[in-house]
Amino acid sequence: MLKIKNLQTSYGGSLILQGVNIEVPPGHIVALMGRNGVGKSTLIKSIVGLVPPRSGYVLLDGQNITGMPANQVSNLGISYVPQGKEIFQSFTVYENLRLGVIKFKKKNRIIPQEIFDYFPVLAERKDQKAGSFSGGEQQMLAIARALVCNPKILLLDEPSEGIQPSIVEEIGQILVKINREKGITILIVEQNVNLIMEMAKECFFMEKGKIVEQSETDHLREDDSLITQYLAL
Amino acid sequence: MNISSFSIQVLNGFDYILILILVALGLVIIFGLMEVINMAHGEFFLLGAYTVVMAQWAGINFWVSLIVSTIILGLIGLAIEFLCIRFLYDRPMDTILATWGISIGIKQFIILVFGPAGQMVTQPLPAMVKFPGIEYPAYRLFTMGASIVVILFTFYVFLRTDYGLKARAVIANRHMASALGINTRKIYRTTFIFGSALAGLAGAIMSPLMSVDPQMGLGYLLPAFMAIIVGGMGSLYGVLGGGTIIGGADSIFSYLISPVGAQIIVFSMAIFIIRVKPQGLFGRES
Repeated sequence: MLKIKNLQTSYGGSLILQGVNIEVPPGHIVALMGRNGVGKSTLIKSIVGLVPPRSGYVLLDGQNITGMPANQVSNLGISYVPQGKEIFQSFTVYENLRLGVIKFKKKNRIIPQEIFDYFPVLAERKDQKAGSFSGGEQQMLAIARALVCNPKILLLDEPSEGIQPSIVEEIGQILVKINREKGITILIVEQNVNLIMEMAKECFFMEKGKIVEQSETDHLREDDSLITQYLAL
Repeated sequence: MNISSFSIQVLNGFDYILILILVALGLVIIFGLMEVINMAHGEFFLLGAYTVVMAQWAGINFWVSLIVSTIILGLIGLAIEFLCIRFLYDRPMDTILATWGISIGIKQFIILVFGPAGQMVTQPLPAMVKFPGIEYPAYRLFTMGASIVVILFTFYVFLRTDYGLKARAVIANRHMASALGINTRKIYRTTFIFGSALAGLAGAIMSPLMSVDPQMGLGYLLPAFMAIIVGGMGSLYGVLGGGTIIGGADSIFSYLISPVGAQIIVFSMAIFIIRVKPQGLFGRES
């Protein structure tokens, strides 16, 4: 589905990504872990077209999308939930969701009813300003906004950040459900080990702009040495 | 001071406020979206008026020429965006210089073609409307009505349509908007065309009431800028408030003192307001 080959990206003069290789098979949930500042967010932004890579390839179903502008990447079926959610605070919940389908032709701009089955809280409060929501609800809105266009692959950048543990668990369960029922592939950047254990099948570890280790999450349950090495302070 | 002349001054004041809001709306949507400070906006107003002059020479009906002006200024906006502005996004200082250059160019072009003297547009509605106690020119009532309709239309477009939702999303968070598949370049272009067309329509509507001359744009550009700064940058509602304060104060003090005295007072007032509330009266602190 998504293949990243030897991707290099520099940002403000320094080389942040120093040749990243990742493969995300269709239908899988793949996690990317690592400490702050190792280049996880830069990698996601390089994939979605918000930061232009210097060299290497990003392939979506074999199509080369390296350095494509963000709006075109989005049109190809890659949805992005950024770090810090970045929902439109002063817009209503409905307007935020509508922005998720606004790239389609006018007659196809329909918010599917099933999104409210996954996130019932959004249905109750459709006409409220998104800024009045709690952190967890805003995160659900950000995820729903990314899903209403029915993407091929969903990229999440630290969805657990600043959200209370019970809601993180709930969001994790919903994402797994969406992955199973709709077959949407997920690449998730996280530092929250519990969430990754709950969701992902395989996990990549990143350090200093490179993928340094790869493991099945089942292995991590038995042996947490990788987690201590690449995540613990 | 008698009641009837006072009432006429109040109506004239409203007329001025509404046209000012129309001019300022075009400026503020272009600024809010692209951070382009369009110094040529006054010349778009002027070109709108000159289009009516030319249409009159060609024997085109005045009411039709209002629509023609709006369309032509939209096309001029498109051409200027395509040839110049699109290369200058993310360079706000350079857009000031570039649009200032365009402004001078347009003004000199008008002087070369039409000469420095003012042109007249025949009054299309010479009738007076009688109210109890006063008579008021029908055309001025039309300008008020038309301005209100266009202002409401602009608000409708930005607050209720999908184009408006996209444009507001780009204003609020350009990167997120593009990650949602919105082509920001296209939104910029459409908005520049929209703002230019608004200025052209304002100039066309005002042409029978003014001497159509190469300097007429400046007389509206400066108070429009002040209305935006006082009301708050990048806020549609701020334009309504700012336009009312600047236009209203100018009308009141022109009547009570003199137009020159009014300018001094309005400028001082604007400086005072910015000193006390730098983000403008209705602007949000960012």
